[in-house]
Amino acid sequence: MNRICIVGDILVDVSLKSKENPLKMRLGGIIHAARCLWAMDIEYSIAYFAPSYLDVHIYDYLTNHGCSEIIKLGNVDNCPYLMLIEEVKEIGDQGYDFVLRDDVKISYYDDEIKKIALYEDLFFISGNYDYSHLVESVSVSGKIHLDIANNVRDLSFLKTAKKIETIFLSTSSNIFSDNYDPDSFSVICLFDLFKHLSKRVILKENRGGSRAFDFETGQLVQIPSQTQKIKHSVGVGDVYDVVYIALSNSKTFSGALNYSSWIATEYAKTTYPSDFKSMVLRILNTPISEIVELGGCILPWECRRKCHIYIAAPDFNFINRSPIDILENSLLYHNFTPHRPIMENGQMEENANWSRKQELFVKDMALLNKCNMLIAVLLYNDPGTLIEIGLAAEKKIPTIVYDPFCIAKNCMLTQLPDLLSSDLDEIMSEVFRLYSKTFTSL
Amino acid sequence: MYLCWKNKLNTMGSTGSGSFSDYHNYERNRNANAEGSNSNGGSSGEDQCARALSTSLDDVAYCEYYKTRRDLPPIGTILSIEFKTRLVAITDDGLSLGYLPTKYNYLRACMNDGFAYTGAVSSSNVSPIPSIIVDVAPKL
Repeated sequence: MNRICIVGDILVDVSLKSKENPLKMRLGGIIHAARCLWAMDIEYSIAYFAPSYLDVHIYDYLTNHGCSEIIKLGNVDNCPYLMLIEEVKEIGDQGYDFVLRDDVKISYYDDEIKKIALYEDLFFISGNYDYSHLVESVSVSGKIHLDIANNVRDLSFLKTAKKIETIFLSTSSNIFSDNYDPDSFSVICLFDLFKHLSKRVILKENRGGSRAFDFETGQLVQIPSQTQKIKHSVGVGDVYDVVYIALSNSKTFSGALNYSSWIATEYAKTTYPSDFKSMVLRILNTPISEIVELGGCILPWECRRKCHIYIAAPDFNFINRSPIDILENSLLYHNFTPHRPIMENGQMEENANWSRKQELFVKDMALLNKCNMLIAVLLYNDPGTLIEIGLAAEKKIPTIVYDPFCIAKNCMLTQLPDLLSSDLDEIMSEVFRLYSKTFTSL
Repeated sequence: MYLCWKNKLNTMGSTGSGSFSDYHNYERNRNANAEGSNSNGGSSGEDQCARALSTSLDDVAYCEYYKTRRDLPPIGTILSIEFKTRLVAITDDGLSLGYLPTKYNYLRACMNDGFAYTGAVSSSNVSPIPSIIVDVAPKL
């Protein structure tokens, strides 16, 4: 019998067609973690909830991807279990739409649920099912690992269960946002919430790395992310988790998490399973000492607030500002502090006199001097924006140019900034990379 | 009857998303006419280890070449990529030019699988700060 059983919902992920990407439909939910174990050549089992129309697809897919036992724990009615994903890269809020979510009805197969008690490592990924019902129904002797990224706001349901081996959460989870106070946050206080519930807790911080704590040894570790251009971020957190679970018996705490970080990035770089697998096997053949030495990007959530970003753009109320809005929302989503000077300091009137112009100029320069970074949005060749790019570069302020319409041709404009790109994902990765250089890790 | 209904749907503008296609052994062109077929299949047919890249190097001012010579190599200087705690660009005479940005860390896994990378300096400037851009490709 294999060691790991992944427990949770299986649904259909549909990444909607966009300017850059065609529509893509894949089995989602716990299948992302399953794909990863297949790529690692590790046999596993699946215990799932899904509507009956998906059963044949699930069976076919899993038997082709290394799954040795498939257990259906319950049926889902009244809902297609279909997730529409508007924006796949988590540049900002991804716009997940779970079709007919409010109507989900699950019937539990109690005889099947008893079968999961036999596994050494049970990995529960939270979803629409009742986790407490599962754990209370069986006398689990193995280790329980639980990802509470989805649908969990209240931890009280964990108090009746046996102590959990590992709890995973992310900065985009409800539990994190409910417990994040920008003025008093400390990761140790956050981890303390889990002190009596689990042996280890792991906080995934998206492109800024991850932090983890072992309550038995008191060890706090910080793991860099391998921040780079990605294709999607759907299921990447689950992949991170399952790599850790698979390697936690054979590697050190931080060693297993470093492999998690590398392999999760590879998952985000492709939706082709064979491409993913070939890179996973190469990574697993790379010694952990090398993985650790190579480093990556570390930028904890709470530190990003101190990164003030000046958005240089023709941010006037008479033009279409949607690229600026999207950039601002993406920066806010990742907890950076963007500034829109025209919004903050005012828009110059057409007939403004010298003194009004001077007032706005002084305020904008003061704001620029306060900022750690400048991102220019080239909606057209706006003189103010172009001058601010030059000023920031001369002041050695890291300077990025977001060129959504690919209009930059002038060599001063193309060569001066740290990055010129029409790809917002690339822009966000560069923000992480540039600001993380100023950050000293634990 | 089924086919008629299906055809009717297509004429109404519904393309559908066909079938689950991301099987490792899925034939890439099985459903070549379907919308989105370019993203289907088990493999992209491209190995990321085999891709060439162009990048600026990190920490040029702190690496051996600039530190010992207070100058930078001319455009066209041949280099190779080596692992010395980080991935570093090295000249033929063994001097480090600068580090590859960490987004290229995956190349170490490629190197451990038999890939080797060489390239040339495509841009180098001492002022305002020492900077080098390199073109790198897998060695054939």
